Amino acid sequence: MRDLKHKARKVDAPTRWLRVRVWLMGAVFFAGLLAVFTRAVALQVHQNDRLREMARDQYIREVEIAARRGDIVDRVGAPLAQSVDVDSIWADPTELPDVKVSAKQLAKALNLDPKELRERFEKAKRFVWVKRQAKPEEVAKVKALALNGIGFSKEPRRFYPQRELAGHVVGIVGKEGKGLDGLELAFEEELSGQAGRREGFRDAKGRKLVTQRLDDDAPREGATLTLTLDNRIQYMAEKALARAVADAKATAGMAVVLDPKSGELLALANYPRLNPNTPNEAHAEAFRNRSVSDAFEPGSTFKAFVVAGALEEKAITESTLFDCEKGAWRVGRHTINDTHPQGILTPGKILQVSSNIGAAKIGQKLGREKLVDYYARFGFGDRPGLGLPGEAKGVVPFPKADISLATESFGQGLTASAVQIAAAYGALANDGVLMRPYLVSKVVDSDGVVVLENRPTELRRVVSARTAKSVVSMLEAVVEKEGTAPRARMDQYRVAGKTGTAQKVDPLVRGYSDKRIASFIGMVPAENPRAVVLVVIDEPKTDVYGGLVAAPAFKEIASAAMPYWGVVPSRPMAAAASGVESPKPLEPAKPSGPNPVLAAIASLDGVTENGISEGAVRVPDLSGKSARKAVTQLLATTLEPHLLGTGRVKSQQPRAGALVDKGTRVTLELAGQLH
Amino acid sequence: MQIGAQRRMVMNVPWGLAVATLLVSLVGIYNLASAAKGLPTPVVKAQAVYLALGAMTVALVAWVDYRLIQRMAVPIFIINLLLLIAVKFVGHKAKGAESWLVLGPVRMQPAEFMKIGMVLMMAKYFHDDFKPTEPSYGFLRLVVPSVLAVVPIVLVLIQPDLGTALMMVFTATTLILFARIKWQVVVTLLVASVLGLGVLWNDYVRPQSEPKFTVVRHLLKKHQDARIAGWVNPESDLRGSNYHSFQSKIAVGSGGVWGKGWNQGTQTYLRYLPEQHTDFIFSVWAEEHGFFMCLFLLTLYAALLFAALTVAFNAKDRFGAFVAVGIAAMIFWQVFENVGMVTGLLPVTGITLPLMSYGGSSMLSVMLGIGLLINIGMRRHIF
Repeated sequence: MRDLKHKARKVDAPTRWLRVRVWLMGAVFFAGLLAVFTRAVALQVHQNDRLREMARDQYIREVEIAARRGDIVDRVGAPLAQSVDVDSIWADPTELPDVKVSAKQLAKALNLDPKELRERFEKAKRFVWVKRQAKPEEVAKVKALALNGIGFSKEPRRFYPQRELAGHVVGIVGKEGKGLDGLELAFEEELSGQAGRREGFRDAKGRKLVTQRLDDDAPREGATLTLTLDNRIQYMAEKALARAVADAKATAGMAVVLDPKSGELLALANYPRLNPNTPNEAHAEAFRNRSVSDAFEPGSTFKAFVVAGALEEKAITESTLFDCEKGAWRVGRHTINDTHPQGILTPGKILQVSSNIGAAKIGQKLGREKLVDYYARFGFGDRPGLGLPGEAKGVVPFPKADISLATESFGQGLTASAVQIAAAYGALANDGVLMRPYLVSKVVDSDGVVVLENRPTELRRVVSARTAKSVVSMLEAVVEKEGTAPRARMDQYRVAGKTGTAQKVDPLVRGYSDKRIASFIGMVPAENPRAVVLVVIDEPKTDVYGGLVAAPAFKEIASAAMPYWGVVPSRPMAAAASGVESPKPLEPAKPSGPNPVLAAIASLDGVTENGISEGAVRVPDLSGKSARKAVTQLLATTLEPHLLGTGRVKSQQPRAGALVDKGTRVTLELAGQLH
Repeated sequence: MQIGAQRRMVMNVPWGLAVATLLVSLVGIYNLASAAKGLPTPVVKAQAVYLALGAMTVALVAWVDYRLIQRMAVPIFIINLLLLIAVKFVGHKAKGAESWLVLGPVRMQPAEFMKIGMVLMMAKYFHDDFKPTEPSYGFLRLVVPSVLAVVPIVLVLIQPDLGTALMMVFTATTLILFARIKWQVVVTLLVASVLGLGVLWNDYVRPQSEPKFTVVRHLLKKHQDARIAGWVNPESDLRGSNYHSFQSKIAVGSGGVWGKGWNQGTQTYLRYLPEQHTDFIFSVWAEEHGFFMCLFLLTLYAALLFAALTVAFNAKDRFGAFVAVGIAAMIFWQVFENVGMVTGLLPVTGITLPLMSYGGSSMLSVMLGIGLLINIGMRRHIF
């Protein structure tokens, strides 16, 4: 055996050098493997962290899941702003059976341009939006086509079921769902909630594969904002304001309803109105929340504060007499005029007839420092702090000149916002205590935790209760026949109020123009005010006086609000003897059916007409109207007019607001006398 | 005697080689089960079939006396050349390369078998050409073996199959170096390597202003050029020419020391790896099993190569020694090139990892080589 082996080797065995080479080769192989091994060490040990990070970077995609934006609701929880999930339609063009045909079909179903859609399909790779936030019936149509490569995904959309109602207060959101104005902007952080994150894998082709794991980052729904506004009061205010602006052919207007005892704002109305669902269609003028952000020269409504301050400081008494100079009084180089020349008047009379000269003289008695001080104590020159963007604080300059002292005493030469004026009258209505006005009563997050709560807050006592009561009773005279605003008088409720007719500053020519701001502010019922209602009409054309253009709107709002709150009438009336039937509470448009968007789109006509059965109509308020106007209006509402006497409407039967069948006869008592 | 010889042959089977081969193959199938997840073809099943066929091939090749194979080397070489030429005309295109020959249900890559044919042919030449009086080879005596190498390499290159061609260049060079060569040849080769590096430096590294002077670069195909450029500058063009290399490095590197776990590789699962079941199979292994398992796999290859070299070491004759060295070199260069490629050490060239990558031709050609090694090993005491 050994021999054999030996022999064999001798014959043909690889020589020694060959074996050396095999060893060498082994060394080379080992070196080679060692080289790649070293490389693996470098990658897997030294660069591990970096490369792991790179891997994560490319395959982990955080899919953001938008949080549902919180609702904005009125004081009873009726929604003003909601978020709804709307279907968006997308396509994967590579999966479409036939791009050309599919584009045609889709375009037909969605009312799009087929050529444009086709181009988009051809340009896109694997994903293209067909239509974002499509309507439910469009989605149904597309689903009926049953095309391959078409997908649907839910996208939250902001929706305002009440349309224009409190549109300025609620504000608007942009395409990306961020608040741009109003409360939507002011409470963006609270409303937006927290977007959730879900980790998804992204493969090499860029397709997202969402995994089910991890739930610690679920989206947090936004908080719900509860407002102090009352949708129904808000609606009445907006309606009355719109009518008043239209009647006066004015450019704009605002109305504020405030609860003087708490400072809660019950309505904040502006005209022109804004529908936050379609901000793109709105005129630039329509975006302003005037009642909060516009500071204007208020005019005579300020006289009440001067009187209150002077009474409080005992500079005057209720019976101090002032010479109203027969309508013209020189102060330095200037002359102050009254519309209706007056003789010797008490402070009460001065308020009743709104004598500028009288007010200026009271202001003189009070003195510059005290005047400015009282305005400040009533809250002027200070931001009310509602939390809305762009709140005006107004300016009360120190009246160095005598003429300034005089004009500031009747509300010219200083500015204030509607909310400020309403809040200040609230102090008079609330026995002299100024409450902080507020709009947002509660912010409650999705877990039910109260993030923010506003409660009625006393800011300060401005005047004594006695003084306040005294001024209120003086203001009651304003709505009497001899006063400036008999049109604000209500049959069942005592009204205390004040008109204002301010000259507008012309920004071009330094000085006053012939444009006016007419206003009326009233509290009702005067003996225990439940509401302060301010109506401001900007640049009225037909009449300029607050008592004529603004007071009727006040009355309309107050007449609707009092029975709605069930306020006991101040005085029994012949007409009221038939029984106080409060008008049916006006239901806000409630989203009905499966889709609130559809439901609301269907009920475009807003809030009031709900709850009224067909065939029934509401009797319009015709008091004070001319016979011709009253008849036209009755016929328009399919009621039969029955006239007694001539002139303007004094009373009507059935009373305004009652629900009656169509064709019911309405008896109008007319009186020849004009207000 | 005959029975005794047979028993001795069985005893002399290099079992270490067989075991290492089997282990790598089984690891390969296990790995493929993860790598091929989601692929339409039943990759794992097919690979198992290939492995079985491969084992039979090993048995068959081992059984035939290799001296018979030695005599058949020329016809085998010629048949392989013809097949390669045939592929050029009737080949099936896959990924831009005409390297598939389709015969009914069988699809094969002649280049894979050409490697073996070349090794056999060169071994036969070096065996026949041996002159005890003149053991060293000069330039003249190297002309024939060079031609024997260059012809198949060129045919493979024009397929185009750059990876296999490169690997054949290295294998042939190894064989030539293994035959004792004169120092002039060594010097020439060194000079050539230096020149080659110089060309690489000139064409790819040296900053040049237009018009650029290049020696080889303008002759390369665009994708090949981009790969070399990417290799020279690995952090550049990560979305383009370096994409594959970069993704592979990410896969290997993110595997870390312990790996992400079988079937847990994100690079694999999300298909960031190109050719993850063939050329880039090592990335899958590295990503999912980590550094220690890479070490394990490389150790298995090292063991396999050690066994192969042992066969060469103990081979009875020159032919046996040359074949064994050639096969060992072939396997080594293929492993080196492949792992070097997936770890970013070498430019990306299409080449499979022996026994790990999916593919029948690749598997069979390696198994032919293993069969030859066993053949030579078990016959080391015969004759």
